[in-house]
Amino acid sequence: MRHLYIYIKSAALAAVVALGAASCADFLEIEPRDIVTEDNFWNEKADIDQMVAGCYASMQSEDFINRCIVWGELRSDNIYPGANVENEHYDLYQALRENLLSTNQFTKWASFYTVINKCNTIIRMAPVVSEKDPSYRESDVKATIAEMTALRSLCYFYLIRAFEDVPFYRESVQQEDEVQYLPASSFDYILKEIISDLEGVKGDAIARYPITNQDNIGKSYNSNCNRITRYGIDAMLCDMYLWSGEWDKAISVAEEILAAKAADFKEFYSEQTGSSRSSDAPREMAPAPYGRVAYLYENTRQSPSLSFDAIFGTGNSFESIFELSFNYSSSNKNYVKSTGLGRLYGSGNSDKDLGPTNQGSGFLTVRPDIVSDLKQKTNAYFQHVYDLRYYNSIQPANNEFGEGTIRKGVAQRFNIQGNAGSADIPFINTESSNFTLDREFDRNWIIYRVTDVMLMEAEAYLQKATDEVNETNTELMHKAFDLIYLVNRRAISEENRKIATNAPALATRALMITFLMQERNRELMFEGKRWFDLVRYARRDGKPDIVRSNVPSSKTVGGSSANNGFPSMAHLFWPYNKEELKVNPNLSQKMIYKNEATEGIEMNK
Amino acid sequence: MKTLRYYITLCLMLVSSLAMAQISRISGTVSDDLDVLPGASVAEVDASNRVVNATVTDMNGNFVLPIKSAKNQLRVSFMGYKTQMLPINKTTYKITMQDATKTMTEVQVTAKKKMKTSGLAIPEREVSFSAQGISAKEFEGLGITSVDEALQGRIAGLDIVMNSGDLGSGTSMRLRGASTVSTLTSNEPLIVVNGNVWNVDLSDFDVATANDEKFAQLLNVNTEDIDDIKVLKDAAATAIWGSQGANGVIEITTKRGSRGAPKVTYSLKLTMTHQPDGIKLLNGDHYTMLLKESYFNPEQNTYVGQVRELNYDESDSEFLMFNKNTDWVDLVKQNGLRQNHYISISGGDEKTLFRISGGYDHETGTIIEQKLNRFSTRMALDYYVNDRIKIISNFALTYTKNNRNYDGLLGIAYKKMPNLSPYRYEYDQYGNEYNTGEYYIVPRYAFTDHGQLTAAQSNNFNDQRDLHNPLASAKYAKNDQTTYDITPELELEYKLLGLDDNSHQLRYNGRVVMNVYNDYTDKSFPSSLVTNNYWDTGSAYSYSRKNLAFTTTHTLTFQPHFKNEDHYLLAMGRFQLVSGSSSSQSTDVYRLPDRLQSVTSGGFVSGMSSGFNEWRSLYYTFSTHYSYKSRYSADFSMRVDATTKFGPNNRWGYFPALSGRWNIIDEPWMKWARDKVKVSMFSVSPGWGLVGNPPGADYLYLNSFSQGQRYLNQVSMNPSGLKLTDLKWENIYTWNLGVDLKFFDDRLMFRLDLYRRTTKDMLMANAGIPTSNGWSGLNYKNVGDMKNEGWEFQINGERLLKKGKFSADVYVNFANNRNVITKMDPLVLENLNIDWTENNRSVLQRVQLNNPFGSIYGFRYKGVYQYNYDTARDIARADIKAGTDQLQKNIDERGWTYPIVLNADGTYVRDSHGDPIQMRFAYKTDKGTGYAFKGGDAIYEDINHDGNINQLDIVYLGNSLPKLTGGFGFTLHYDRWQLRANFNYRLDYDILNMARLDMESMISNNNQSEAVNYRWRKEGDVTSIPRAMFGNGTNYNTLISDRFVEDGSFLRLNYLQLNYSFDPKLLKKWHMSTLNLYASANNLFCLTKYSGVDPEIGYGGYGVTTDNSQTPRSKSYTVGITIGF
Repeated sequence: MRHLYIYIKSAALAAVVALGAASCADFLEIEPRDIVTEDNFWNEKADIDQMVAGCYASMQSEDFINRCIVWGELRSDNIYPGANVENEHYDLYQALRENLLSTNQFTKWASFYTVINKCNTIIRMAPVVSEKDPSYRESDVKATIAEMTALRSLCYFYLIRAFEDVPFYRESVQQEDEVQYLPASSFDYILKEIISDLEGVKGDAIARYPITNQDNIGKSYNSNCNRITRYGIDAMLCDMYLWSGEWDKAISVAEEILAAKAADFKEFYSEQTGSSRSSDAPREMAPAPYGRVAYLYENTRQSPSLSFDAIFGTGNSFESIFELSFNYSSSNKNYVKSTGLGRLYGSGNSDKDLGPTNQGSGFLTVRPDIVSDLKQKTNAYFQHVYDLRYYNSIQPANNEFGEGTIRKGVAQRFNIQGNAGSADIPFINTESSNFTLDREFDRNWIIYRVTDVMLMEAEAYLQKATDEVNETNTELMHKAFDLIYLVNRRAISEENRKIATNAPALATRALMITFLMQERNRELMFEGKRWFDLVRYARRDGKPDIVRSNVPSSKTVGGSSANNGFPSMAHLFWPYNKEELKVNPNLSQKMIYKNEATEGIEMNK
Repeated sequence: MKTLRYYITLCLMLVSSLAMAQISRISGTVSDDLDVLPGASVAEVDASNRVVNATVTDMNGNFVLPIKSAKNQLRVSFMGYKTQMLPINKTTYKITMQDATKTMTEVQVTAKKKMKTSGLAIPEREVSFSAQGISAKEFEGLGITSVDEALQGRIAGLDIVMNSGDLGSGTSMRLRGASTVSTLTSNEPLIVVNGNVWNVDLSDFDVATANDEKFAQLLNVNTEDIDDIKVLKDAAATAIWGSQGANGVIEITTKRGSRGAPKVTYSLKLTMTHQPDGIKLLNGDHYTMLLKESYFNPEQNTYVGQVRELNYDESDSEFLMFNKNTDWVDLVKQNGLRQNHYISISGGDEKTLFRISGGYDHETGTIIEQKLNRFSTRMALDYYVNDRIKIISNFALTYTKNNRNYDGLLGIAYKKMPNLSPYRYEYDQYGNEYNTGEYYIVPRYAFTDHGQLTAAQSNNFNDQRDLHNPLASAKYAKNDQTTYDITPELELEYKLLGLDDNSHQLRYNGRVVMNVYNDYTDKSFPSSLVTNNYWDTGSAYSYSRKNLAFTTTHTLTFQPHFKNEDHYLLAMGRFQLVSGSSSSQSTDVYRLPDRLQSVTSGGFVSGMSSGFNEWRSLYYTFSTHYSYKSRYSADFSMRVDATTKFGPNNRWGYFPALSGRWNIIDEPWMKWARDKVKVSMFSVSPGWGLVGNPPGADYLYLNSFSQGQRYLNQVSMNPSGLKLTDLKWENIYTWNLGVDLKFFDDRLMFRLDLYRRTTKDMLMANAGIPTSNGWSGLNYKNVGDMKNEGWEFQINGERLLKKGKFSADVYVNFANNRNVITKMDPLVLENLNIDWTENNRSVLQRVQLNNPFGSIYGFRYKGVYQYNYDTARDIARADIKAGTDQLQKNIDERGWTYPIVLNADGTYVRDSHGDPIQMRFAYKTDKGTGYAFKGGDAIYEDINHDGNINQLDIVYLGNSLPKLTGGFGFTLHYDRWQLRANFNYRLDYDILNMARLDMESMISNNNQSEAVNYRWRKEGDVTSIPRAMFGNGTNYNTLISDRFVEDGSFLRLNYLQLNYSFDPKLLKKWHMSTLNLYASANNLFCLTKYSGVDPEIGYGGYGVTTDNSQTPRSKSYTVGITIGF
């Protein structure tokens, strides 16, 4: 009897234990608090919006912006080694010496492929979300797909210009078994694919986003340019057509952009006069027949620097087409500072995370003969003493931050003082407060703006023309000249425009091309364009001579290409990263970079 | 309602009527044969011996006792008499007690000595797995702060290495080698205190650096509270810990109360610690001379060395601060003092056992301004409700406050320029210099004589300026850590069936344990010490973390009773649930005005973060032990783990283990050995088991998304992990064979263990995939297999030599482990092998199949080129003219060295002009010229004689895994004196002495070792130290080479202790029960050829042991006293 009682008790106990076990499946399900899992994601439009923002945000990473600069500008004739780069940034230094090793961190492309895969994922998931969320309409889905296709194409466009052939795919990789080990696809194939992708989605893209004040805290009117618009796609296409050699298409998309800008001017600024005009609004339209381009550069003597502020300082200027918006403040950590720019170009801040320890200058600096005094007329690019772009791009004065530092894209504001019309050379105020960008360092990174497109259009005209002297060619060259001249003229302060009009007579197409290249470099210096321009011309020629003749050999001391000075087209592109090759058996190193490696060391005991 | 009332009334009536029918009170007398017994105990006890009511007899032996229930029994007991149990069946008793002495018959006690682990309590001679224990008595009175120090050198196969000599920096432990490549999976053994795992989340931290935390866990157990430590080594032993015990288990049992009058013990230990001398550094004069040379050499230009810091220029405003000879290391070192106070009270009666203890430690470090305060208390209470039910309650609390240094002072002291003064000096009115007593902080700017603002230090010396003045930093900067560790525990034990070995026993044990661990860090750095920029002022940081975990355990243990007592069976089933959560937050502020030290006092917030983590797991354990005649034993256990780290597919891990033991000595045919050779034990015990490891992260099996930076005021989400579809448990299979041999009633004992541990599907974090997939890698991947094989041998002898009052105990143990990687995903292997970069100090990391971890590769160092190339060329040219062979003679006969290429036979190679060819570094035909070696540069052996020092000249230089580790020791007893000594050793392993490399590299402004005074300075110098060359890229003198690879073998006298305990008879007069006095010395000497301070250095990445000039382990001297009342 007593035993029975105990057995019952133990049975009950066992039951309790078993019960505990039965509910264990639930016990092991915990909802995480700091991440969202796929179980409750991809349900509504907001999820898509947040992922889209994530794409832009990852384009703001230091890795990404650095590569825009390093791939697009660094190897060009504009850039020289800056402060402490030899000791503090080995990879950058090696790249500056043209010693491109597969171990160099700038051969890593992960930051671009991260964006590509995010775009792929959103393109895959947008229709799925649309099915769950009726407020996410079909046209929205299309617009999302267009936007993501544009970002993906832009990333591929960067990659092929840097590496020539790269792995190309459009499928999203979300789980282990979707991981791909792709070989590289060819430059031409990828270019063709991304052009046709963009042409396909162009019509779906949003032309203008609704403007809300919240969108741009402390920024000016045009937040439209912070996301891909239809015109952003046009600008990309225009650029790509120049690489694929489709001149008419390039001209037509450029015209589309210019027409839209003219319409915008009419809508937003024609009514603004006098004191009602916002300080950063464009002043006036260019005279006919180019009434589609607004003058941005301020033309009064006192403060020609306002235009600088509008384009490069505050950002989101009227003439911008696509730029990444940085908006950092120490009180709001959710925004991003453009660390990449600060480190490479110099931030006016000795903060180590914003640049080399030597305060004020970046790891990169300007080629000496671009810094040289305009009065001496020895400057390689800026021939006109009053070319404001010189003062906007470069810090020439000898001041505590050193000489000849890059200012475009990093300085917040310049004061151009002195009487621009007088014999005095306007100089840039060197008060440190003008450069102290502090921790709130947030210059935007401009990818396309109107003058870029105008010069691309001019290039298309010139390429369309032939060396033969005939009426068609003359007309094409005129059209090109007018565009280049317009860009040139608006940058020269008003008092001196008349001098600028005495541009040399450009009789031949070859001279015109040189003039265009110089103008492009003056206008877009340090904006990540110059090296790609050189490579584009070289590809068109099928030989690297144009690079060799432009990049001074003095720049490349001790580097791999230096001895022979860009001996082949292959030398214009970067090697694949060593680590990448290790994990991707289908990707093989380019021939010219093959023998550098430490292959085949066996160190058995 | 009405009916309810009716029922209640009915019940009440029934109860009262029943009660009336029963006996409610009894009375009687108790006497023995002669007389009445006053003071005898009379109690009503229930079926399980629980006392319901009790009384004692009065002067006349009478008693009256109210009775609860007549079903109970009456128990009458009195000291010296046999206890009687009587049924309650009458109201008056006349009880006659019988003298116990008369009834006593011989009783044979057959209880077996049992090994208590948190699994089954198995008789020691039937234990079939590999475990080794150490009793607290062995380390009583040593000047140690935590258990690991006591274990060092005591357990075969447990390799314990001090991380550093800093307060609270802990040790790293490896039981039988590392089991995995993953840096995220810890290789440290599991620590179990009283059967409980410390469930504190460390996921904020990289486990590889979380030694502080591990240490905290050990530190939170006061060594005085420890009763016993067991180290479970093989999988058969640890399998009941499943995935937690993959790296072995250290089980700690704390002391509990014992029956008898309360005993009070107080002990005091005073320990003096000091640091051994490190590398001798240059003084100010030698330093400035070195730097001048170092600046001159690369540029061959005296101008570069003309900097104010080195010039001793009296007109300089800071001259007085740059003309000293400061021994920074001496300034930051001090003698540390540690006081350990400890008091405990223990006692108990039939029903209750208790032990309460409290300890207070105060410690000052061997580096200035380091201070540690610790208060710990532990309470253990056992309450026997009756024979069946026992309630156990434990409570432990440890509070630690560690005032650490903000900066690594010793590190700074080793680097800081010795001509700099720690204090500001000024001229008095007579022009004599005097010390203002104010700490000198090198300002960013100073005024020159012309009143201009100028940099106070040359740009080149910015790095020196940024090394904070260590004295000022120690005094004014704050870095405090406070931790609270609270572990309350409640346990219920219920014997469901029989009460003794003669019946079936079934025991239920339920336990709830709570872990509370909170820690707080407060740091601040005052603006007055900031040197590196001129607008950032003081900063402060505060961090807090809360941890809370509940562990619920249900255990059923069954021990059937067989009629044939040759059979013996034990079985246990256990179910355990763990749930816990932790949250943390931190705030960083900067631009604080001076003297404000708190994050709340204003300033700009530069960083704020918070974290939250939650985890749950669930374990089933089944374990059984069977033995026949105690001669053949077999054990089987199975553990099932479920964790949130895996998705539903792989969530459960199954970890079986099987082991057996054959006590050969019990065989009848071994009688001769028992009788003639006095063998008391000879057994073999093979075992096999499987344990596993889960990955260190949750939700790997799902696509997850986390918030990223905003873009245009839009919150962004980013994919945060590539969904892992086929991640598996990492499994570790272990074979173990143990052989026990004991003589003379176990007084002399030998044990040999052979083992093989195979790790399959090793987990590795961040396994690479092509980044063109848009992901940087897989969070985790099962990448390959690894094998650890080895043996352990131990000898223990108790009271071996015995002569009169003298006796001696000795013990020795040896362990050897061989580690081999047997399989590896080829892509991962490629990826692990980081390329050699042509830089000084860059370590070539190689992980190779069929090779162990921890191999060091590099160049062979052959000294320093005596002469420049030009000198060699000139001789060669002269030779051609004169037809002589002078250059070759110089090389062959005089052994002079030139930076020229030599053939394998030692002849130099000429180019087409007849000139010797200059030796080059990393020359590539298509890419530049490579560095050409010059006089004073390091000579590396040109293994392939191609005139080019490159990766093809890299050879294997050594391995960091020791061939033999272990320890030995002895205890000598003489009367009431005791002398104990313990040694530990590690043999045949190599250390990469990066500390020395940095101290002899002469490429920066950092102070260097005195050895660089022997550097090459001019042509012809014969030395092993190359010339001084400022700048890392200017020279290749400190490539990893055998110059910096040293054998780290050592033998250390871990401790030596002398103990005297007073005669209890004598003490009785002073109303004391014990009085012990002792003195001990720790780390008295260390025999080694290693040139660094201490060869005991922890494991580095992929097993390479690297000396990064950690604070060396201090030497300490302790005196102590223990008093018991």
